[in-house]
Amino acid sequence: MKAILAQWGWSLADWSGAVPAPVTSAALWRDGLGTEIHADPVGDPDVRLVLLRGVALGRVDRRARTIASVLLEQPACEATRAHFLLDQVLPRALADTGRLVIHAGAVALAGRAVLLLGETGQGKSTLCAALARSGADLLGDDAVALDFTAGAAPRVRALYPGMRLLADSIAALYPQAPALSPMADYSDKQRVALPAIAIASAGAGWLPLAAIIVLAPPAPDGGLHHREPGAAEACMALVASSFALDPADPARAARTLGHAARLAGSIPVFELAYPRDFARLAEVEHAVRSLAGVAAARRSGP
Amino acid sequence: MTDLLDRPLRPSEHAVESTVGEETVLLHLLRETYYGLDAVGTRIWRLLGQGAAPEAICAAVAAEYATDLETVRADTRVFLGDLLAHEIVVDG
Repeated sequence: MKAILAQWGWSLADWSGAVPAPVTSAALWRDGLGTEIHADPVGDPDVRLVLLRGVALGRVDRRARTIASVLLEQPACEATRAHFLLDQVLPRALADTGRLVIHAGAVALAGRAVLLLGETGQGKSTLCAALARSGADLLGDDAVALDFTAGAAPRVRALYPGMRLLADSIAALYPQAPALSPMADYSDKQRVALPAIAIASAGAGWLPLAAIIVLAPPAPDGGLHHREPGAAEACMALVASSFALDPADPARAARTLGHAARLAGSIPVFELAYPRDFARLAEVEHAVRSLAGVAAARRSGP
Repeated sequence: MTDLLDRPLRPSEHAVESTVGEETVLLHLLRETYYGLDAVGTRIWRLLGQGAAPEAICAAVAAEYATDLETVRADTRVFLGDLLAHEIVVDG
């Protein structure tokens, strides 16, 4: 975990002092899954608290670029701490430094990244795992950072190589059970041990971004359907999937919106509705590869 | 009730915007709502930001897009009502 944070310019700090009293301040912001952002109780403007009630509390010092955490549950579970830090705190801390960080799974096809966006439960991890099983390079299944170096096409990198799946996906995807470890003690998801080759490719660094696919709920007719949302709609989907440490800060929100607009204006964005049926997963994989092919054809021009 | 087009409206201080091609995305920071504007909506938003009154905006849009003024007024009333409901514009 220390190495992952260090890759992004952050380091772990010890929680100074005793386990804090319950946070009673009003949240600056609360997401739909129960994660709250609070101001520093002693008023340091560079500190934000990330709270998952009853589970863990994180302290992000954006001046020192350190993250400290304390587990609130008993008994304490280190897997929960790792999940909290890597999947909840780090993406927000990183977004606060000026990067666009998006909640998305990512695979590489022919050396270019394809992002799979969608709300929790829409199948990002399962589809990433299925694509990796059939030859794509797995980059990560939860969060990616974007790089907008001047004059270059947007590039992407997963925050860390990882794969977390529920039991039904594991059973459907892997004929031989892979090595598993708990993701967090409040979740039924398991971390799947990645083969060394997958980790090596995931660590390859920044990749050019080919396409963004937003996973939509299944269509009423049970079919596979894709469409291209307009630029504004695509931008809104990206903002809705983005992380922020201070979502109500006007300057930071404007910056995130600007990044999302740039992305939506330069990378093909598709919406894909498909049946959540393991028996039809190969069709969905084919659809993803086809959409990546459409994006590639556009890059090549007529 | 006062006609919406007679009310002095202005962009909320809690709204941030970004341009994507000819379209605009608006984000309300506190409500976490997003709103996409097409080219005509973007033009109305720009004029509103410049301090133009709704009736003046309707006249300008009708002239620029060579459209019947009453149609523009009806559409703008709906559009601004929606932005007002989402608190992206407020009474100014």
